[in-house]
Amino acid sequence: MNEGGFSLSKKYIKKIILQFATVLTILLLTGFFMRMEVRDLLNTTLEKTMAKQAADLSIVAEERFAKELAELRLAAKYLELHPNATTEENFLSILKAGNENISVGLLKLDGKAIHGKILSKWDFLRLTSAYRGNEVVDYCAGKGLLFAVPVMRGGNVQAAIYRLYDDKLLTDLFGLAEYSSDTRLLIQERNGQIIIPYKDYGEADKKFFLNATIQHGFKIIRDKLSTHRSAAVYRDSSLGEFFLFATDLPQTNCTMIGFVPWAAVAGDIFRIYTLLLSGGTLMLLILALVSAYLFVVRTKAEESDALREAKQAAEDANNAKSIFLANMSHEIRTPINAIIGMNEMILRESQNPKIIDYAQNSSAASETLLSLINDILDFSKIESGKFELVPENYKLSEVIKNLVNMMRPRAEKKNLAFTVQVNPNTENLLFGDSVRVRQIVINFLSNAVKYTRVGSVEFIVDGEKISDDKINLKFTVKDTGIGIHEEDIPKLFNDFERFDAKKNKNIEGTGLGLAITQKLVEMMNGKIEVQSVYGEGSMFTVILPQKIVGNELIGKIEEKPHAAQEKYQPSFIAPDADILVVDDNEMNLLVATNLLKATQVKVDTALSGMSCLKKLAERHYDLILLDQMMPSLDGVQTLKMARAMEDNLSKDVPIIALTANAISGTREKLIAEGFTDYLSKPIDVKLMEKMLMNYLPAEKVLSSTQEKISAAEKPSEPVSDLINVEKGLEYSAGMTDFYKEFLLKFVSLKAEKQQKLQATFEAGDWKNYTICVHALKSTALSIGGEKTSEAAKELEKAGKILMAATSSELEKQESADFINKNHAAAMKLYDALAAEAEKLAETL
Amino acid sequence: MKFVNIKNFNLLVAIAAFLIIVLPAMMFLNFNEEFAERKEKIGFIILGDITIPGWNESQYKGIKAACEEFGVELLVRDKVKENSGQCTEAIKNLVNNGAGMIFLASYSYSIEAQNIIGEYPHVAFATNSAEVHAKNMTAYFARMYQARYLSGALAGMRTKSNVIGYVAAMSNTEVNRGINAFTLGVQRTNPQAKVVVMWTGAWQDEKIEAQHAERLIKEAGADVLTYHQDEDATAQVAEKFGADFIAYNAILDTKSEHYLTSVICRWNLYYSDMIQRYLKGEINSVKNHWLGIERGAVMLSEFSPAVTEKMITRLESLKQELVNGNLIFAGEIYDNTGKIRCAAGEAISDDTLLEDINWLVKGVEVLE
Repeated sequence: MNEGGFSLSKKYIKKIILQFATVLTILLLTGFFMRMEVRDLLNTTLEKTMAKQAADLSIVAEERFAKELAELRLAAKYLELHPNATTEENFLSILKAGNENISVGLLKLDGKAIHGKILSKWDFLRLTSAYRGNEVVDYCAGKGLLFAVPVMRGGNVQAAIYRLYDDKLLTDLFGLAEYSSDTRLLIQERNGQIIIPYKDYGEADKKFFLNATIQHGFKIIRDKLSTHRSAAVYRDSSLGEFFLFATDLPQTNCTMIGFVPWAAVAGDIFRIYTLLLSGGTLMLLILALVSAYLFVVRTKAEESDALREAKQAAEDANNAKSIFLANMSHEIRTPINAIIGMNEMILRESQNPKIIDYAQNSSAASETLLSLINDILDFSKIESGKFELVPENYKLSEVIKNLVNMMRPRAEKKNLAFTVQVNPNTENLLFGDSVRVRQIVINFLSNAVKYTRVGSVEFIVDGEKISDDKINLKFTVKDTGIGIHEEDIPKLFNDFERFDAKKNKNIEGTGLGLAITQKLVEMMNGKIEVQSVYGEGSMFTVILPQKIVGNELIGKIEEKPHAAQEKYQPSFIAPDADILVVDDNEMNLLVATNLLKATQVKVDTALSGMSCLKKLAERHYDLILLDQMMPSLDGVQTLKMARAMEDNLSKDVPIIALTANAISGTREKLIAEGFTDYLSKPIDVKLMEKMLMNYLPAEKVLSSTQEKISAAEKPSEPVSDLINVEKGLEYSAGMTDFYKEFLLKFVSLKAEKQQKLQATFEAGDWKNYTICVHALKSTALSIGGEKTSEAAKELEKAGKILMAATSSELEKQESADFINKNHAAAMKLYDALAAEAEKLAETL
Repeated sequence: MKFVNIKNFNLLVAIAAFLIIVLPAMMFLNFNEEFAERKEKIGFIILGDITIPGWNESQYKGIKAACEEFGVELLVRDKVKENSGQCTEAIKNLVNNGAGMIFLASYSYSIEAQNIIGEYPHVAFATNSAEVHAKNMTAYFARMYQARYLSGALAGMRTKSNVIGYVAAMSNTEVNRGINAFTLGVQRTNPQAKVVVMWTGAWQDEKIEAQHAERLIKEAGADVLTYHQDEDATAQVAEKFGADFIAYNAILDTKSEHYLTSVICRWNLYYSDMIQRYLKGEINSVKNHWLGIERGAVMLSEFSPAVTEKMITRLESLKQELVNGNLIFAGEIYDNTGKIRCAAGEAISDDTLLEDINWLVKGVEVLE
């Protein structure tokens, strides 16, 4: 899922990058084309502007021509009105203005000069037009610019007056060079051949005008000029970028041409455009980026939405599963409860060995079924993270014995050799969750038995001490079973996985076993190693780190001979006790009632919360067993109402919840609700009796031995001189169960206590030593360990002397010496007593 | 819902991209269209039917060729009667249709339209009469009189009776100028010859034209005829009576030896020059625009086989004089009442020639 999501988002990113790149490319291309387009457009526009400016220049020229002509016209008029020779000459000299480069003259129609020099009509082709009465501007290369107007007499022309400007004057006269510092202007004849240069016309300029691109440009201009007053073109030549322009000067045979560098005209404008374009591009880029960003954010939001939804859905599904499992466990446990209960009754009451055998088989099947349910429940707990290890002190030997006792019959039933090897040097007293350790090993062992048809199952236990208080327990289970394909080994611990489904279809189980096992091992920081050859067998090794809590080696494990099904014996009787059992299921009530028959407890039943409350108001009960899950009023509601009820005659009696809901957290929840304790269904007889013993008023509980002395006689046989069983039983009010309890408690606490005792001894902490020894004295005595108690008593006495303020130095010295001398012996007695007590407890 | 949103988002992006890219591109295209030069339109108003040979067809063919040369659009309004108000309507219509230049190709149009011309200062008007002036109107004409002069020289060489007949529409500057130039041409080659003019009083009146032509032959004894009319009735009469004739403004479809030549104007060249000046923005800067023989605007058509090599050579040299700038109306010129019209060393100005020739040169007689 995560993997998938990751690659999906990677794909998205790729897609986004691709889209972004595409957009960017389009933008760049668009920008590039726009730039080209704008540049072309700009140049076209500027060409027009330049052409217009050139036309304006021609108008300027025209105006200057008009001014010239107006002067001459005035002169002509004057001459027309004053046909006097001397006046003419004076007048003309005024026109000449003293400049040697200006010549003035008066021509007769036959070309002869009245004044001034003769002008050839071949030089000035337009001169004839003056004889026809028209005003003339004409240019002749080398001669200059001619202005001529006719001198009239009435409607007829009698002469032409002219003024001729030498070429040298032209640039100054028409000021064309002043137009712009970057602009070069010059006048040429319309045939385009002869050039009247601007001021600093040089070689470079000649080269410029000879450049093929420039010449081509001017050719285009000339073509345009045939239909336009002026024209301009943009040329990108090897000499640079230029605007070329030209305009025909009206009424003359001249063309003014010029050029200006592109940058001088378009540079600023184009800079503005470039600025705008850059700005625009930037905006577009930002837009694109923002779009991309929004897209990513959006996609991410959608992804996380989807994830959240998926998570929610998964959680919902998981909750549904948990609820389903809880319901199932209730629904399934209830009938199993009944089956187990009924089997128990059969086993207790039947004398027919055949029927007992059937009941035993039925019971075994029920137990299997229950274990399957437990598997599923375990799995669901682990899955939901609600599973917790419950560590405690335990004896490895116990666990091993238990395992062996459990597995051997199964193996033998299949005619498999079952061998057990336990390293006797393994530490025995450990701290950990022994129930789960057991569960783990059972799993491997039962798998080995399950999947082995012929051959043997080998169970090897070893321990590797990794520090003073830590050991790596190593359980190895070897079989000669069907084995596992190498490629299947990694899948071995997958949930619900089973190999060779066809082959193994007759093998029972949920397929969860190994998955749970692995999870448990992980929780204990252990590991599992698997070696297997398909068809030859497998070897599973599980290594579990455990804490060491005592100085005891496991030694040789003595297997108890396969015990026959013992006849049930109740652990106590309480004929005066009244209890109420509330359950909506009559079968359950029947089971509970029958299970308690042997204890002689008076059992009353109620089928619902309401009838329970009614009964509570009628009479007093010593204890109430209240089913938690009932229709209408459930256990919790009933409890609360009962506690709050005014006329409740059993107001403060213990109320114990019965629940088939064995999901983790149930106990805490129930106790928090106000239950005194809880019992899981199906009801374990021993557990229920223990519970009753704990919570019933002590005066009403009697030892079953008081009733059945014959039964109590057996354990009273002295096992050794270390324990006075009679004395011990006395301390347990004659009840073997209590006595056994005391014995086991003594044994279980021994390691811790002895350690403490040893520690205080070694530290010379006599005050605490005395306390510890005092405790040993009483506990030893309480189980009948008179010798040990006596030894402890001596040590205590010495300790007291040692600690007493009134004691003399000598006394103290003597006491210390006594303790040092006798401590080891007392400890040996302690060890022996514990071992003895353990043995005794087992026989009880 | 979300899925739809994503779709919408993509759609939005697509639309945005479209707007960002396509709209500016479209705007640019529009700009370019705006910047593209609009096609110039030339209006042309003429009196007669443009399909009938003579003045009308020659004008039309000329302007059509010129418009094609420059790729401008020609808008024609023909059969527009003078002094009927149709001309002003035609002008308005042409301006509304986008004509930037309008040719008024009949003599009296300008008089009739003189008021409306000022209302369209951005339209360039051109007319073939010099009767009215306006800032935005150019009088245009070919120096037809130069060809008349040459044809007169030919007539002078060809006449045996020394009497040359001239059927003319009416006495106005244009017609008088033609008669005078013709007569000066006749006198150049045959100082003894005289020119007898008869007025028809109309540009087109075949019947009177024919009558006058016949009278000129029979009564005046003319053996060479020419005319200044829109059509060629005179030529047909001359042909009929075996007299030589010089046609005007059209090349006639006849192989007769009497058909000496035609005085023609190359209107296409002429209009081409006018339109070019218009396009160059120069048209309104001059009052009058005359195009002469030096540009080939006027000429004599192919000569009849009756015209000898010697005559042709003489005509060529005379033509060369004109091309070189020699003036016809220069030097001492007297009118037919003995009044001096041009003194020695003087020349009659173009303005006078265009506007103010109300006299006939010495050597012209008018037959009533």
